[in-house]
Amino acid sequence: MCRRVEVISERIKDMENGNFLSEDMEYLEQQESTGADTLFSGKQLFDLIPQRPPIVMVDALYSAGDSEAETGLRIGEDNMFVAEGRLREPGLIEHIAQSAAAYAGYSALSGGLKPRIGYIAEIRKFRVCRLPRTGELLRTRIRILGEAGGLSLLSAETSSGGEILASCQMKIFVRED
Amino acid sequence: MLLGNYYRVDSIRKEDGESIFDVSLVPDCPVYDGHFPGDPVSPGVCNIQMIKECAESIVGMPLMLEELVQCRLTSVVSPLTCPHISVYISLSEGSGAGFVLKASLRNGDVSCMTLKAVAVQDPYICSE
Repeated sequence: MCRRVEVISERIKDMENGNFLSEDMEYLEQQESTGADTLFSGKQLFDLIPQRPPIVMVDALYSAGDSEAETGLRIGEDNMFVAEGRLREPGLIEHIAQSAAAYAGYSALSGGLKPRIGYIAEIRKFRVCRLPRTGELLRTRIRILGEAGGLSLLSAETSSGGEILASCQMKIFVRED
Repeated sequence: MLLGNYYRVDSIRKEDGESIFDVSLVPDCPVYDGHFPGDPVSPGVCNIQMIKECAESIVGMPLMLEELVQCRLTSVVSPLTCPHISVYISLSEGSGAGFVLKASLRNGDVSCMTLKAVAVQDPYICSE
């Protein structure tokens, strides 16, 4: 709840500084161009992640850098973690985990390697401000904080329309096949 | 959400202030078609949802996990290797309107998962 107040305060400050318009423009551009700047989308994600229906929880990889990536998910009505028209917390967590998987898969492919199966080893400080509704487009930023011994530590922030919905830290263990 | 198709509750008991749900994982649950094809692994988030549902049955209301302080998944869970597991739940009053939920998933003596969360009455289910 405190996080939501922070987000609102920041937006009010933005408006006062005259940045309101540019943020809205960015949101509109994001909504329109989910096809244009996307690295992988829809079924192309199957080249990056081992999950398949009914538990696919990411449908776009927008960008992937040295230690950061951005992913997306349009919440469908048939999403297995949707109840009463909203994506529940486990769905948000799985979206974040698969966002990390998509990034790891992309990095593996870029290095000529096969994407491997990863398991969530730990979730820390997962906080949710609002559960998104079906039809909303989630956008998640993943940041890799460190890697050692097959374990990746990352932080993630999930937004919708520029509003932060959830964040957490996660450790993912990638199994040696 | 998952009761009946991902897991079934075989019995519920109480020990040292904890409620213990002895559950069976459903081996032909459709989730395993995708997690993973040819290699069924129980998704950690399904186990989190299962824990939440057990907690909901104790407090008698739908819950939202507002904060997952820490969740450790220490052992792979699968309906093939450990079809019968136990969910240990303890609930206490938190600061504010929520509960502190501590839970663990055990396969006999082996702890597969531990969780500490802040759960509040689901703000969405009642109002819509």
